[in-house]
Amino acid sequence: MRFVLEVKGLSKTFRGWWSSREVRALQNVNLSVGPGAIFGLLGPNGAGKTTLVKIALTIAYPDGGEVRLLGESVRNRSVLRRVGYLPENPRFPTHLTAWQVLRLYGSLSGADMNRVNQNASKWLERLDLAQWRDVRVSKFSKGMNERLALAQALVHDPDFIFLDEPTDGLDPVGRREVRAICRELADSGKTIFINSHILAEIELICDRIALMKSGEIIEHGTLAELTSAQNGYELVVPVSDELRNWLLEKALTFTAVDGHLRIHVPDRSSANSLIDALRAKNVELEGLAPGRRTLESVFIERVTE
Amino acid sequence: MSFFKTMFKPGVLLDTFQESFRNKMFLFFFIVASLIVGSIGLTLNMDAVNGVMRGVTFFGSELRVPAFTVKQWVENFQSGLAMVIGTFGMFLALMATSTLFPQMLQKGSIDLLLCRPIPRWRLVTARFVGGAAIMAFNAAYLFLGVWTVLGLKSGIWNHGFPLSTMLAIFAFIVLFSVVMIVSVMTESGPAGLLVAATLLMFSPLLAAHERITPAFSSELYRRIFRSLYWLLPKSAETIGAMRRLIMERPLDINLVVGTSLAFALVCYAATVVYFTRKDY
Repeated sequence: MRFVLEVKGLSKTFRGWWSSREVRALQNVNLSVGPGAIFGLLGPNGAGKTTLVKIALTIAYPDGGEVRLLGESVRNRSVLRRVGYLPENPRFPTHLTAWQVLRLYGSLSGADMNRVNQNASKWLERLDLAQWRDVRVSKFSKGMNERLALAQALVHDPDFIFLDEPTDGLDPVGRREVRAICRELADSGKTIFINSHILAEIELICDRIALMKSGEIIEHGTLAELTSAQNGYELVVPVSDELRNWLLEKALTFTAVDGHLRIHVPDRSSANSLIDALRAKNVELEGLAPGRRTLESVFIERVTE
Repeated sequence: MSFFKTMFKPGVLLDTFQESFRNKMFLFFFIVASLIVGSIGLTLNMDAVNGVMRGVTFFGSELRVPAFTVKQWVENFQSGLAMVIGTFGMFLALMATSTLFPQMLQKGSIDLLLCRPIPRWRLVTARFVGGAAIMAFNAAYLFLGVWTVLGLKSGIWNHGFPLSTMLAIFAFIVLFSVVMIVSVMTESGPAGLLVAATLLMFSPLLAAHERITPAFSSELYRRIFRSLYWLLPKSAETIGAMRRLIMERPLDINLVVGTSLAFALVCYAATVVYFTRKDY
């Protein structure tokens, strides 16, 4: 498979000018992302996520290793014409209007200005900023600024898009819109790389996920792969006081949700024994599935190890 | 070819102009220059008889004028104005432009520039050229305006005055290169302004090194002072050369311009090297 992002043996250590203190931001990071994917990079604050993105965009330089984007080394800056970037806490020149911001960054990306103008109109409309097009960005709210930042990342029609905390500062409707846009872009063959520590967002939109901790990738795969590690089984039965007491007597763990009891058992034989016992008590089974961890539990488990 | 076009996109340069328009920096200097030109045009009245000044009123008040010819008076007025612009105006210009680089380097702002297919040296150069061009335009507007108004009023067209604009712009560019290197390295506008203003204020002392150094007790101090004279920009002498040019006196500024230009080029090269290698 041909990857659109290949990170090989990437290392980065930040050193102070005056002190001997060193921060190892990245340690031999290897990563690859295929075309048309929505890739999520998760990690706690200070894990090295933003450093990785900044090196990929030549905003920072690695001590070792290499990043290839769209088949070319990022040392060849011309590849950046096909890359969009939404930074965390974007700051635009406050003297510009939304329209001028999009034209400025579209022009700096080397795109044809007719296409930039068309895309600028399209994204301002789509991101509900059309009526603010000629208003200076200094008047914009945080959410509007964030939506404009997304528009500038897309205005030159890039093939690869880095989004650093894309839903930060957005309301639920705005978040849903961003997710929809990401999905549409991926469906049209563009690749999205999302940096976030908001697990719910990553869980909802990403095809593949990597977990990062202390400058290292500690886990990666699809959401199903990350959350479906052997974790027993879950049986769903109708709730009743009698059954609840019986489960407490047997010291079985369960949760009551929406008029049902979700009973957790550690392995297959326990599940079969429990099914036999429940059937003997004329309890009707409503569901049986392998137990899945949530992304949050995987994240907390792995980053606190 | 398309990559070449990308390399030379004028976006940052235009943005610097736009920024100076919108943050009123350009407007401030333009209004100040217009006021100076306008007040000379509207309120300066010269009374001359047979080419000799009899009296001058400015804003209705009589100015005491020694028995100058009109030509001498105009030259003196122009050189006095050039000195004020070369010192006070220079400081204002440096103050106004000292924010250009720190604004570009703000977190969230610099990221949006560095992720583009433009070499870093182009970004910093465009910013420098933009700041210098704004001030050059205003200086040219002021000098040419004053020259035209005085020429129309007196009939004296002293070509040294408009030519001295070049020296004023040169002196500004040299000190602006100091603002650039300091503010790029420290990411602080006031730091850049402070260093440039210190050099501007210290330059008359360095210019007088031949008279000052004999008073030093140690040869080491003399050498240090002389070295500073040769190393640092010669702003006072450049501004002084404006006066000589206006007064049509002999002008030998090759060394002054050469060493100051070398200093500015070193500042520029060091800024480019630093900016190109820095992680943001």
